[in-house]
Amino acid sequence: MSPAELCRVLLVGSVPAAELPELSGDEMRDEVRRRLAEVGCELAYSVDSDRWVARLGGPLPDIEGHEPVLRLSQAELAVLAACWLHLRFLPAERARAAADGLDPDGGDGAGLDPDDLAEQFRGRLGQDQLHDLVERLRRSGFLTQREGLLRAGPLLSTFEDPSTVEQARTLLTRHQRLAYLQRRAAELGADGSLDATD
Amino acid sequence: MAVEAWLDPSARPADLPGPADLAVGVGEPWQQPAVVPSEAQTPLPAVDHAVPLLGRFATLVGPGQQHDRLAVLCALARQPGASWRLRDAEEAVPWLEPDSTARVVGELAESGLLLPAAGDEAAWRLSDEAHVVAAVCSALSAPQLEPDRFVRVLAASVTLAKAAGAPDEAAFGPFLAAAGVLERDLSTIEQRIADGREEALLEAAATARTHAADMAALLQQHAELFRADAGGLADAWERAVAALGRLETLTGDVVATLAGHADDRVRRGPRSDRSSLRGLVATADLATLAALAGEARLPPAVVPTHPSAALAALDEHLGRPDPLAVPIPEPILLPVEAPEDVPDLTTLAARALEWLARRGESVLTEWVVGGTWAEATGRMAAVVEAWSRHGPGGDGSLQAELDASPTLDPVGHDEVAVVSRTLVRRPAAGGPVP
Repeated sequence: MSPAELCRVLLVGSVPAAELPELSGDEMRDEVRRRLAEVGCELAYSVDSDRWVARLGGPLPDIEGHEPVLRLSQAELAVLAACWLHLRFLPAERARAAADGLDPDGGDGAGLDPDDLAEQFRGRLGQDQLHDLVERLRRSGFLTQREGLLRAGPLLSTFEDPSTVEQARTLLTRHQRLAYLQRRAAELGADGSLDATD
Repeated sequence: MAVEAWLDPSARPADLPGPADLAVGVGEPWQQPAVVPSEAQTPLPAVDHAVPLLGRFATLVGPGQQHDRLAVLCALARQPGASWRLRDAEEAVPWLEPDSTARVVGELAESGLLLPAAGDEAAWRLSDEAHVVAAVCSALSAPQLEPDRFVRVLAASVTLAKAAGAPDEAAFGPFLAAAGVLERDLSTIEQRIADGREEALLEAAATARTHAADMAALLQQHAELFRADAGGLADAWERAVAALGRLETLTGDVVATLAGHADDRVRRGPRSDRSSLRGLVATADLATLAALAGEARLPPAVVPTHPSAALAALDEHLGRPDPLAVPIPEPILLPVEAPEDVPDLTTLAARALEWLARRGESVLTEWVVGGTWAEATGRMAAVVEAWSRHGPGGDGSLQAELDASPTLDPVGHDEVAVVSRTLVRRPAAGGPVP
C-alpha cells in the first residue's frame, strides 16, 4: 500500500499490525506519520492489542456550529478515565511497584466488571446510561468486552502520556489523604476528645 | 439560659421561629418588650447599674453623634501629662479648626468625660471612665474583626470584665461564644474534608489552630473562674476542653497530611489497588474524572464509504430475486400409517447422498427440493443427520462428500425460492472423507 492508502486505512479505524507490514519499515512509517501530522493526526501503536491506530494529535478548537462525528461528553470522558484507571493505570502501577521491590496488592487488573463500574458511578450515572456510554466507548475503540469483562481497547492503550499518569497519581494521593482525614474526623467525633489541653 | 442552650443545642424545637421569621423591618414602630416575671427577678437591674458607664459610649457613638467627638477624645487620651490646656488640645487635633476644637472640648466636658484639672482652672483632664471609653474605642478601631482574632478578642473581653470588676456572669458570655467558635471550626473542617477542597481545608485548619491556641490560653488563664460550678459552667468547661482537644488533634492531622508531614499511613504515597481506585471513582465528581481523560486523543471519525461503493451495494441488493408469494396449500387429510411403515428418513438421505455422489458432482437440491416446503426442510434435516451419523464426524461409512458454499442458487419451484449451494461428490480416495 502507498502512504496515502495507509493513511486512509488508519483514519477509518485501527488495523492489526500484521496486516500492515509496510509500517514495519522506518521510512514508510515516518512518511505515514508525517502525512497524518499534516492533517492534525498522529500515528500510534497499541502494544497490548498489536494494532496501528491513528488519532487526533491535539485538542479540538471550539467552533460554533461544529458537529463532530465523535466527541465525547463529560460523562463519557469520566467513564473513560475510570476505565483507564482500572485497566491501564493500575496494572502499570503494580508492575512499577513490583520492579521497585514493593509488594503490590493482588488482582489481575486485566478486566473490569461492568456491574462493578456501575456501582462506582451509582448516584451519578444510571445503569442504562452507563451501558450506553460504555457501548459508545467500545465502538470507538477505547474498550473491548470479552467474557463479560471490559478490557482495554487499542485506543485506550495509546491514551495516556506521562503527565496523565502523574495526574492520576496526584488525584489518587489526594483522595487517600482526604479519606484518611475523613476517618480521623469520624474517630475523633466518636471518641469525643483525645488530646484535651488542660 | 445561654449556657443551657449551648450545652444542648438540639433542645431547640424545629418548629420555633428562626432568624428569618423574626426579622424586623427598619420602619416598624418600636414596642416596649413585655417582661413575664417581675423586673426584680430579671438581669435588667444589673444592666441598669451599667448604664452610666455604657452611656458614655452613647455620647460618642451611635445615632446622631458626630465622629469628631470620638476622634478628639481619643487624641486627648494620648496627651502626655496629667492635664492639658485648650492650646494643647488644638495642637493634638490640627485637622480641626480651633473654634471647633473648643466647641467639642466643651461638649465633652458637659457630658462628664472631661473634668477640670486640679489646681489649674485653665486645664482639663479625662475622667477615669473617659480613659476606659477611649481605650476600648481605640482597641476596637480595626476596620473589621479578622476571623482568626475572634477568640482572642473574646478572651480579652473576659479579662476586661474581670479587670472592670463586672459580675462573673459577664465573663461567661464571651467564654461560651469562644467555645461555640471551636465547635463551628470542627464542623467547617469536616465539611471541607467531605467537599475535598484542600486549599480551603488548610485555610480553615490554620484559622482553627489560632482559635484553639487562644482558647487554650483563655482556659488556662481563667480556669478557676470557669471550673467552679457557677452558672452551670462546669459542664460547659468540660465540653469546651473536649472540643479543644478534638480540634487540636484534627487540625494537626490536616496540616501534617496536606503538608506532607504525616506519618507512614499517608506519607508513603498513593496506594494503587483496586479498592483505592473504586473509592476514587466513587467519590470524585464527573468533571474531575473527565479532566483526567482530557481530550482523550479521539480517533478520527472518517466514515469508510464512497458513493460508488454504496451504489454497488445497492445494485447487488436490487439484483436479488424477489421473494415469491406462495399460496397456502389446500388442507388435505393425512394418511394414517403404521409406525413400521414409516421409512427411516436419515437412512434414506444417506442412500440419496451416495446416489448423487455416484453421478459425479451433483447439487444437493436435486434430492432435497420437491413437493412442499415442509418436505424440503424435512429432507434437508435428514441430510444433516445422515452427514452427522455416517459422515467423517460419524462412523465414516458414507460414500459421499459434501461441499457447502455461501452462494445462493435460485430455485423458484416447489415452494423454495433460493437455496444455499451444496455440492455432492465422491470422496477423494474413493472412500469416506477422513
